[in-house]
Parts: sequence; C-alpha cells; structure tokens
Amino acid sequence: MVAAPGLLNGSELTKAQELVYELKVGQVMTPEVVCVSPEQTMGELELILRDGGFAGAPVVKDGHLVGIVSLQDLILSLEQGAVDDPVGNWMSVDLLTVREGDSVIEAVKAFSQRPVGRIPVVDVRGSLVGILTGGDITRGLVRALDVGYRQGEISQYRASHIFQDISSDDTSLTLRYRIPARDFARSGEASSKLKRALQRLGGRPEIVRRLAVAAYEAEMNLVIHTDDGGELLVDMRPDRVRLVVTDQGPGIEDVSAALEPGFSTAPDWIRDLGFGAGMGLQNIRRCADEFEIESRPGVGTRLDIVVRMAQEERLGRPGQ
Amino acid sequence: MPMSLAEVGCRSPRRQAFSWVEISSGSNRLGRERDAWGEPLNLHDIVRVAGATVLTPNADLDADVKCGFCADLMSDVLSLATPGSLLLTGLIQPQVVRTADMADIVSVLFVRGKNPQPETVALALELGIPLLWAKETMFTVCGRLYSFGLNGVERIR
Repeated sequence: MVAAPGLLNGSELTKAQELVYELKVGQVMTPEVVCVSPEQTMGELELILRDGGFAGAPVVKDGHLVGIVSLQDLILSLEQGAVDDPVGNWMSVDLLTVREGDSVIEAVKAFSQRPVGRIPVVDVRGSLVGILTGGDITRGLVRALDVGYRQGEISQYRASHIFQDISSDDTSLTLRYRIPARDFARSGEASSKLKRALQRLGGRPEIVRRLAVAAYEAEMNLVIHTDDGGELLVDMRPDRVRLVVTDQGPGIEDVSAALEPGFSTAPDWIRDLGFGAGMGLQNIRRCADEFEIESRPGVGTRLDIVVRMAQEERLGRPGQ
Repeated sequence: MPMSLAEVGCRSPRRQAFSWVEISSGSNRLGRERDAWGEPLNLHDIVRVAGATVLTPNADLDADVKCGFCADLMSDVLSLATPGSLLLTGLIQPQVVRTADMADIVSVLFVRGKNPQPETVALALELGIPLLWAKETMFTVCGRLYSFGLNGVERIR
C-alpha cells in the first residue's frame, strides 16, 4: 500500500489524534458567518442560502445567538408553502454551541452526539464569533499536519546545508560522545545518535552504515574493556569523517595480536551478549579508509580512523 | 518429514503452481520462485511463512526483506549482514536491536521461543525496528524461509 507521506502511517495517525486535542476551535472555524434575523422570511432565507451556497445559518437577534436554521428546515417550510413565515418560527432553538477556546475534540464529541451539520462558535460572553462544520475540522487538521510535515522538511534542509550555509575557509563539525565503562544498558546510544546525525547531514546510506558500524564496535570496546570509559570524537567535513576514540586505560598489551581475527580478552559474560569474539577491530578496519591504533599498557588507547567520501557522496552536497 | 507447500504457506494458487514446477524440475529453489514471481518478500511473508508473532505493535510489515542472516554473534552481523537483511538470532538483549540499527537490518526474528527483555522491545519501538518471534529452532525457521525463497547474503565481503 502506498501511503500519502505523513498522513497514513501509524505515527502520523497518532499525530492527528494529538492535534485534535491541541487545536482550538477558533483556529479551524469559519469566522465570517452569514447570519439571519428571526424576523426575516423563509423566502429571504432561501435566497441567502442559495446565493452563498450555505446549508444553514445562525439566527441572531440584537447581537445574541437565538437559534440556527438549516436547509432541511427551509425545505419543510417550502413544502408547506410557508415562504412568508418568519425564520423565528422554523429555526431550532435547542442550541448546541462550542467556545472558540475549546479544543477540537470537544466539537468532535458534539458532532458525534447530535446529527447536526454545523455548530455555532461563541466567545466567553456568548456572542457568535464563527461557525464550525465537519469540513472545517478536516481542513484544519490537514493544514496543521502539513505545516508539521513541512517543518520537519525544513529542519532536514537546514541540517544538510550546514556546510554551504556557514562560510569559512575550512568548516568542520565536531561531535563528542562520552562513553561510560560497563554501562551495557546504554551502550550503543552514542553510535545511534551519530548515525542519525550523519543521516541528517545527508550522508549516503553506505557511508553512514560504515561509520555507524565502526563507531559501534569502538563504543562497545570502550564499554567492555576500559577502566573509566572513554570518548568518541567525530570530526566531520564534507569530504571525510574522522573518528577518534580515546581512553585512559588499561591499554592493549600487544596491538598486532589484538588485530588478529579471533583474538579476544573478553570475559565469558561479554561473549554471552554476542560480543568479545575478537572481531571488533577487524570490523572497524574493514569500514575505514584510514586506520591507526596506538596503545600503551597503563596509559590508554587511541584509535583514529577516516572514512572518505567521493564528490557525489559529500556531506551537505547541493541538490539534497 | 518433508514440508509440503501448504505448510510453508504459499499465498496464492499461482505461486503454489509455480513452486511445484520448480520443485518437480529438481532445480535449486534458492530464490527462483521469488525472482520469477517478480515480487520481493516483505515482512508479511516472513511472519506467515515462519509462523512468527509480531512483538512490536503497529510495526510496518510492508518493508521488503532482501535476504536472511543468522547469528548469535553481533560482530558477525556487523561485518557480514547486508542492508535490508532479516536477522534471525537466539540473543535477546537490547544490543541485538542496537546492532540491527547500525547494520540497517530490516527486522529481528527471535527463534527458539526466547522472549526478549522488555528493554529490547522498548528500544526496537524507539528505533522503529519490527521484532518477530518464533518458537521453533533456528534451523527450522531458516529452512522454512529458505524454501520459500529467502536467500542468504549474496557474497562474503
């Protein structure tokens, strides 16, 4: 099924539900209301409804709402030849109204309780300020959803154009993520955030994936192996992203052994979680265009990788 | 006992008839049925064929599934699974979902009837990754999906 963007999928339905509560009647009603007085005749009402294309009108006397008269009332009066009867004789006086400050959900409830096509909107003093139909509610919701949708697009636009909008001889964007040791519940959060950031900057899916995988493996290494956690520093330029991962220990005894596939010092409980199989550094190296690692036992480890992007893959490139 | 086509859940007479041709001709069933049919598998197919339960409410099951990948080792997923894969695993921690997010996995199918931790489901809902659950073993679930035309990853990089 092809859904209209932003309208039919599950999360946007929830958005529409939210809007029914957030929007006020005053924001969606029709404010210019054509009213009739109770002294006008049904014949005059016929002309007003016909010329305006209305299906009903509120009836107002001395600025106060006294009733509402519909096309159905008009038809009944015409059937009985009561063209010269005053509107006051045919209007409904049992009035359902909503306040302009009510949320749209109140109006939706009112429509569901009574089979009416329109509800007069009054202010706090009870004066008529507008009229509300089901169509007004639908249009108001669609408008609000559309605005939200466009705002989403605008923020996307701004993020992906940061490298063009901000002018300097050499612009880079630096993100820092601090990774606590042994916090398995939150491990991977930084890499998820980095992934979203790269997507918003217009990174190509394959580039984003390589960086996300490398960052995640590095983040897991910090969580599993370090004494006090470490830091993920991401330096983004349009043509390359550098990821520098540092910690203050314990350091790796034999770096070249650590680079061998399958070499691992991870305890069993880490292996039970699906990690620590000695593939992490291999994976990082595979994702990177440049890869450097230095480590000194008792001092710490510094991993420095670069992923380069071709001209058509550049971050924040025009035409996105 | 060999699986009948009814058991693997062919969804239309035409698909079923075609499957019989493939099988009776003795050719490898790998992907043929799907390719010739011209429709990629989606998560609705996976749920039906695997007899799976969807654990994440309101999941988008229209997503295409390009291939399947099984692992209980997350580094294997990160290094070998291709974007758009379905991940079948016996691990149930939140890191599985995190791994799926990094590797552009379309959905995670937990096998052997293992129930994921609540944190795992919460994270999947947050990241919009549908979670599936099947009570049979990895081998059986994979067999059903493979027979139906779900390939493994195409090449080991």
